Amino acid sequence: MKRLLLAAAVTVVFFAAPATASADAPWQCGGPQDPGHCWWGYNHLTPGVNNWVPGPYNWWVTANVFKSNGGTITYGMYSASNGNWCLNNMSGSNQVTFFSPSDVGCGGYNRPALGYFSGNSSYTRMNVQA
Amino acid sequence: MLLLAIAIAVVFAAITRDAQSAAAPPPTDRLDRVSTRGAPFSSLLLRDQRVLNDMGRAGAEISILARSGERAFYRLGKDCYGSGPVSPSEYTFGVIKCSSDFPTAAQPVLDFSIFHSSSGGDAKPSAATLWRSEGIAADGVAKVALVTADGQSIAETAVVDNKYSFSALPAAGGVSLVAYDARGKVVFSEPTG
Repeated sequence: MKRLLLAAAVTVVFFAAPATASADAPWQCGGPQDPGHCWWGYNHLTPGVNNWVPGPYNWWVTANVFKSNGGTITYGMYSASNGNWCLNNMSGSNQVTFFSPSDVGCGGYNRPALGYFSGNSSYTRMNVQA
Repeated sequence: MLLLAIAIAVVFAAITRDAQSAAAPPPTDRLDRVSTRGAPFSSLLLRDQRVLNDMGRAGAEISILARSGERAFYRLGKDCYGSGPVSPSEYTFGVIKCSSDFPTAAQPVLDFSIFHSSSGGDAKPSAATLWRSEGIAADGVAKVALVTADGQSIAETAVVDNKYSFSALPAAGGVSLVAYDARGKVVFSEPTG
C-alpha cells in the first residue's frame, strides 16, 4: 500500500511540474560535453520528458540573476517554431528580467526558459511561470 | 558711489555664475540619473498586470518615456524599465529589466538587445546575430555604437530621451554595445551576442 501511495505521489509531481511550469532549480554547470557553461531548463528538471509548451501568449520567463563577481550572463529560450534561440546579456548584478517570447522572436511552440549562461556567476537562479 | 555699486554687482554676478557652474556636473558625470520623466501610463492589459505582480512590482508607478518607430519605452517604479510594441494588443511590456545597479557609473546602460542563434535543442547557441537592439541609457550617455571585436564601429545611434534604438542592424555577430559620453569617452561596454 505504501509503495502504491508513493508511486501515486511521484506520478502527480511528475505531471504537475510542467503544468505549473514554475521552478527554482540549480543550474547544471560544466560537464564533459559543455565545460565552462551552465544550463537550466525543463529538460534538466525532468530529463527525458517532453516539456515543450504551446505559446505564444500563455507563459513568460522571469530570471532573477544574482551576480557578485562580474562577467556577463547570457540567458534565453529556444523556440521550436522557428528554430531560434532568443537571448539577452546581463552584466552587473541583482537583475530581474522578464521577456515575452513573442516579443523577442521566440513565439509559437516553445521550450521556455532553457536558461544558459557563460561567464562568472556566484549564484544564478531562474524562475519560469506559465 | 555708483562705481562701487557696479563693482559689487559685477563681483556678485561672478560668484553666482561660479556657484552655478559648480552645481551642474559636467556631462560625463551624469551617469547616475535618468531625467526623462515621460507621461503617466495606466493602460495596462491583464497580462501586464500578471507579469508585474509576479515580478513583485504590482502597483508600480509607470510612465511612458518615449516612442521610437514601432517601439515604446517605459519606466516602471524606481528601478525597472521596459519596452514593447507602440500599439499594444496582447501585451504592453515585451521586455522588462530591473537592476539596482542602474543607473550608475558602473552600469549607465540597461540593454534590451535580443540576439538569435539558429542552434537548437540542447546545443550551445552559436553564431548569434542581433535581432533587435534597444535600451535605456543614463543622462551622461550621448550615443551608443555596435563595435566589432577588432574595435570597428559598424553602427551608432544617439541617445534621445534616455532611450536608444538601432534602426538597422549588422549581419555580423559577435559585436559589443559601447556607450560614449558627450566627449566621446567610452563609459560602458557589453557584448550583445
